[in-house]
Amino acid sequence: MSAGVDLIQVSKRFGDDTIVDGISLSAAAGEFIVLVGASGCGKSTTLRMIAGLEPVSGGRILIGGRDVTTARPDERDIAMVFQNYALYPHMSVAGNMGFALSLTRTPKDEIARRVGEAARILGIEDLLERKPRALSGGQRQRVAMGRAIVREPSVFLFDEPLSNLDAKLRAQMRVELALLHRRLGKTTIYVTHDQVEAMTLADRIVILDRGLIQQIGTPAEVFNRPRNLFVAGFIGSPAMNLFRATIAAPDAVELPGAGARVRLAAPLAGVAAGKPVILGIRPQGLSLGEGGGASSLHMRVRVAEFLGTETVLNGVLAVSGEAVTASVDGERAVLADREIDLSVDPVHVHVFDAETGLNLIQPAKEEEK
Amino acid sequence: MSTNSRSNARAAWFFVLPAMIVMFVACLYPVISAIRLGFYDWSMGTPWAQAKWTGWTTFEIVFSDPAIWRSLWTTLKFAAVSVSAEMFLGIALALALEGNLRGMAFFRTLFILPMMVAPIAVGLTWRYLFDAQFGLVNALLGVFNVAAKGWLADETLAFAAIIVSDIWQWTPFVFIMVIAGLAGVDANVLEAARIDGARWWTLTTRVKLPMIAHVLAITLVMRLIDAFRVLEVIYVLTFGGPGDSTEVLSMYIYKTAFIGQKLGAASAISVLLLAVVMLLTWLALRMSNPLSDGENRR
Repeated sequence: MSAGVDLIQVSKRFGDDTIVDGISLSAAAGEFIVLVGASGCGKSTTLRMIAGLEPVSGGRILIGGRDVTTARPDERDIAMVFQNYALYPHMSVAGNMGFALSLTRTPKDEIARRVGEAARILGIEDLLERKPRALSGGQRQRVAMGRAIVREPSVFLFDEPLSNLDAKLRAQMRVELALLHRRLGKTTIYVTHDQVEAMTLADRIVILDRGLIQQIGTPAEVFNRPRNLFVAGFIGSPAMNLFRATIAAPDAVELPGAGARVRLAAPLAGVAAGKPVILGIRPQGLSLGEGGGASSLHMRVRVAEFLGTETVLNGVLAVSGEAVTASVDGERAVLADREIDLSVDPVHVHVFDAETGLNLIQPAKEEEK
Repeated sequence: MSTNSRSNARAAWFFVLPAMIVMFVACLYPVISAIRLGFYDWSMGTPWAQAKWTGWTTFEIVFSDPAIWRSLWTTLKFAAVSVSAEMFLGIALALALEGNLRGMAFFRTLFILPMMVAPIAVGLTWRYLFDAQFGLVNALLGVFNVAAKGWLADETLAFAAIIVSDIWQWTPFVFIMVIAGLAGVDANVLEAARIDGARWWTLTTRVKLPMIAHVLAITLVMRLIDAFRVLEVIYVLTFGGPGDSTEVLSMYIYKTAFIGQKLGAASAISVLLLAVVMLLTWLALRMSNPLSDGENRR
């Protein structure tokens, strides 16, 4: 059975430092939620509070509607996979996977059956007698997941489980995690600093910064409608270009330093001309184009990174010298140290209030704080 | 072999040789001399040239003497009781004082002080503490209306006394080894065990202690070796008495060599002690070899 998870105004303080600042979040039963943010944003602490490994300083935690705020970790019906796998080094793989069941005096036949079933799902049947130290990183990762699966919990918690794997294995395990979630259908709360993991795995992404939730939304929502500058800068690779600008007209923004004007997809409501703003343009919204248009930027290319299907151009705006990145068609060769014209796709343009950092074009609807 | 690798090998020997010479002079030579001495009849103070080759005779005489087996039994009892108690108390104290609670560093320092005292001083201190007339132990018993006892005059009590002093001095060693071992246990593994449902007892017995099994094994071996060689404290406290109740093997060797002036016999008994200690070490390392990669162990 799967259970929803509710955080209600949950906070965590260590002395005078507030690590998690009264966050509220609801994960529906079976949902895959990814907590993402930079180091020290409070994502792991939040996960540890849900697991019961860290007492909360304030607020309540409900799992399956039951208040577990002060419950012991084993009373919360959760299982957790740690970043370093945290396998019992003195036990075999089977011993690791069956440990929780042995503590509840589950009959040996039943333990063997459930361990065997989990091992079959994860393809580690051949490893059951081995010790963790005789396993590769990827195999340890599977054993750690197996240990979680065997317990048949209502909620899975993952704390950066793929960060110790090499890039190829990480991509493979990401796919397997997604398949596993689909197969088991259990509520999953997953912590990562890797936005690719967040975007590919999540039903909904929770972006944290300095202990506060910056935005909750589907991967498409947080990418297309970033609520503020932090989310805009954090989600998307390469990161969004941000330029100092002013409102020129309801549907146009001027880059004073670059001497350019960028047209918006829709007019801004209630924003006075001359207001200082931050203009955000996704690198994917810039393409090699004809110069002289209303929405075009003049760029001096410093480095061109050919990635196959696309080429990432790094350089500066020709007039202002502000850094700019463009992700353009990989078929067209672009040489370094050339000056080029980029045309701007209004769909990928965002305007942020220079003071509050909020997105003025399409503010995401207010969800949980 | 190329010139390069040959000169590398020569350089390696050049650097290793001093250490090997020191090892030979300091460790191997005394052991070989002791074994050789067992085959000679030689009195200290006389020239070595006067030593007489006796072959296995000394060994035969020594090992047919019941006194040696009695002192071996006393040594075994002493080692078993004191080391078991030290391991139990050291582990218990370490489990109680691990972690970073306020003031724990002070207590940890306090607990390891006895280990730093010279064994002779420990013997003298306990001799005063166990003194029948003026000792603190009897004074404390007096508070509870328990009659004063002749601690070092009674065979059973004297044996208990040497065990108590050994426990007092060497429990801190076990404590410090276990504390260090526990500090190296991955906190995430303990958290995983808590999520799996392990409470204090199961967490300790099925996760923590097995994870430091290699530390426990090496500690046990070191304590056993030391317990088998114990001399100074017993020398000062009881000198093997009353009767021969606390006459452990090393005390017996000392008496044979320096009171009986039978160095050959003393050497023969030393070989027995060496054999027993080596056997115990081998057994303990076999149970949990800190140097093995653990692949073959369950």
